[in-house]
Amino acid sequence: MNAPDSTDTTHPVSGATVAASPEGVTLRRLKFPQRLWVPIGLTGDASAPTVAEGRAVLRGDALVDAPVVSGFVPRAPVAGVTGRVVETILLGGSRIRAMELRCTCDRADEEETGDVSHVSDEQPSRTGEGELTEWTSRLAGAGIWADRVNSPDLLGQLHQALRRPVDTVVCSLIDADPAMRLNAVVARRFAVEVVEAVELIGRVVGAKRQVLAVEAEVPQRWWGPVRRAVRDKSIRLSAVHGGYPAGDTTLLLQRVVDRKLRPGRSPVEVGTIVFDAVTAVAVGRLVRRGRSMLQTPLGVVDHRTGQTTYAIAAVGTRLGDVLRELSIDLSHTALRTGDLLRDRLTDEHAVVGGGEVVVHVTHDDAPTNPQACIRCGWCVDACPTGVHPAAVLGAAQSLDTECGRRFGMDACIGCGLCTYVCPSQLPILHGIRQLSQIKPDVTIT
Amino acid sequence: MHSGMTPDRFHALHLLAMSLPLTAGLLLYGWRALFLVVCVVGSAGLAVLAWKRVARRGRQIQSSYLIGSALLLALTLPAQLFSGVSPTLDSGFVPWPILPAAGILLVAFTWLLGGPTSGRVHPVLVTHLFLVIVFGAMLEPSTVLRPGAMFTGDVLDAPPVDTTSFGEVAPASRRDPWIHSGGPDTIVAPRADAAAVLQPESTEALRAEPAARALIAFTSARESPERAWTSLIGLLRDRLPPLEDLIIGGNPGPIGNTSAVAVIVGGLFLIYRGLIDYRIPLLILLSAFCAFLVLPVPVLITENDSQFIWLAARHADVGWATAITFANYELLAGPLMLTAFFIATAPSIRPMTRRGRTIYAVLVGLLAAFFQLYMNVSYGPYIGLLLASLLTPMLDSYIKPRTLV
Repeated sequence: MNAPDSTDTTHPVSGATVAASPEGVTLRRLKFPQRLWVPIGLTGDASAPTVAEGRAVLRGDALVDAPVVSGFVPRAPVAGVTGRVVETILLGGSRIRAMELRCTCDRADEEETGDVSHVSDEQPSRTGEGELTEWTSRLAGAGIWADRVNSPDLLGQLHQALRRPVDTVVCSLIDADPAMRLNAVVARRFAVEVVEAVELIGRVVGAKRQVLAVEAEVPQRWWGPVRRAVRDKSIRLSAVHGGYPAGDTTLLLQRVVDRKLRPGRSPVEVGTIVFDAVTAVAVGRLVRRGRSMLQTPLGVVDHRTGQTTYAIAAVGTRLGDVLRELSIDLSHTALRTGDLLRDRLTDEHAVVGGGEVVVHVTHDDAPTNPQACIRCGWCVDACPTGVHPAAVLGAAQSLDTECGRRFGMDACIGCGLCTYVCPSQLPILHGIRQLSQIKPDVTIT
Repeated sequence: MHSGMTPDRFHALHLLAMSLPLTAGLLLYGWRALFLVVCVVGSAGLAVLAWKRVARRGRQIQSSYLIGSALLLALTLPAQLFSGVSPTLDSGFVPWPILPAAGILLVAFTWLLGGPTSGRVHPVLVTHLFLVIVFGAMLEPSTVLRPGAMFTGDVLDAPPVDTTSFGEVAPASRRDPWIHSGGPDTIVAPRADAAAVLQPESTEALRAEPAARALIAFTSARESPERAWTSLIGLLRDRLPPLEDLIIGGNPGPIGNTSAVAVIVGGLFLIYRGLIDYRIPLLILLSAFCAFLVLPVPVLITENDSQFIWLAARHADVGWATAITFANYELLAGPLMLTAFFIATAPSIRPMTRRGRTIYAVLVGLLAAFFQLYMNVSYGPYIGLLLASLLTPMLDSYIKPRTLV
């Protein structure tokens, strides 16, 4: 937990007084709960058969019996006994299949004691495309995966890089929320790992340019450890202006490398690979110490009290267990993951993994009655990608996808700024999301 | 997750911005201006209570919006309307009932035009132009309080209208700025045979010809010259008040339009708070200014002929200095400033996209200049805005946003 200091600031959305600096922050290691729900794949994905129920596994053991064709190898974060496979939700909203693991100890040892033979200390013997294939396999084998708004599917990007040229690697250290500096905290604590991850991925994909994107508006001393780590390397620090939602992949690529990427598409389509500091740390720990991704950094902001906690939780921990260990009262609360304004609600059953790693705890919102649009135009002015949100909402009301596309629906990154600034409190973001999910041939006039 | 702004606060901030030109108007026109505002706003407020119950459309009427519109309408009216005596006509017509009627008409037009955000025609414009059609000359002010009688004085306590031996009303212009007119004022009446007309110090107000009237009389070439000829330079030199009177205040006009400084500061407040787009007032004024320089204006008017020249600055007798001064007078003499900052920026009539607003603002400026030069300075900008705002739906439909990706 952060102690208040002179960099406390008022949160622009919730109004809570929050600590804004990553300096002096510690990452609290959470105890393992009695049960974990270890993600083993997305719902509907073909995956390798899992180990039988009731089997005792050690920390780091694979939870599948056969090699995985695509995706990652799920590994036991702690020693325990396997249970049934269930469908649940990941922090971030994706529906996943997860294996229950009944833990037989409550804290992790410093060294992995499980089977780590999948991770080799030897450098890959192949280079070029062969090295990329081998490292992709190593990352998957170590259970390293990421799939969140500000850090797209890393394994998917690497697979695509086999078929498309990539000339730039961008690692985002940007935190758009002043109360949640998770990328900055993680990058300061694990600066060497971050840099080594960027170097590795840049080398295996053959990228000519390797960039660490940082916020221009924050004090330079925050990046001291990172600066020292990149000294004498070909990685450059790029300061990005603009505040929220600068960390979004579409905006990041436009501001850092001046490339246009449609929201939801893979950065490899424009010759880049993008990931954030949390992902970089997982990759870097594998490179430096041969560690699998059994835990993940997590940030929790309680806007009711202004308390921000940076923690390390085991993959598969339920959000409710995390919040209970942090002594956060769950009554009459709303839980949101990712950027606060994206308004992605979740519940305490969501599971920690490679999805979103930031949780916002706010008061339970009373339902609001929107008023008529007053045509103030603030949504149009606020939109960072030039969409006409009011017009798209109008199209959503008549389920007219053609009209929605005409007014820029496909360029919407879902940042939620339009809904935030609307004086009439219209549910613009939700309208756009609903319209985006409709197939083009359905139009009601 | 919300910023906390509501439509009521949105409109309240507009009211706050309007308080600056209102304050200037109250200082220059006194208690009659205050009662005029109270009358218009009060009647609109009462009318809202009734019209909100009329059909489904009535429920969409927002009180905060109507109060703001009523105040805006009041700012476009002259203070002399709050009077029991007709200022310009010899009939027994008493002007003050115009005020509550204006407030009620405003609400009725708002309802008819589809509510605050549905219509593409601003109800204040429609109401004001309706009043112009019906009451015409009564909306032309000709008096302003002396500096020593600000706010407390009676704006109708002014010297009588001077007439020449031909029975015409003699326009009176002042040489000194209003701000210096503390004592007896010597004025020149170009139409009179007498060299000077004194304005006794005992009156609380001064009488002067509004710059708007002098300008339209010249640019429309409707009036024949009192001597053999009159020129553009002669107009600026002899008939128009000092430019300070239009910038700071002191030239008779509508309550809210007399002090350009007050209007601009109020507009800057709106821009600062992000309530209006700076492009609209900026481009309206720029395009109008350019139009005033380019559109044909008479450089010389004789008894039998008027010599109109476009881009008057290139005429040997005019030059750029005179042309720019003329354009400045045109910008400041009419309600163009008030229109640019407070009416043209209304969300209901301006396009929502930036490119749309740019096109709209340039169009408003050009049309406003055209109608101001050839129809009437006092309401030409309103007609220009009315026509341009009819294109807003088309601009909103056909101008697609330029997305980042």
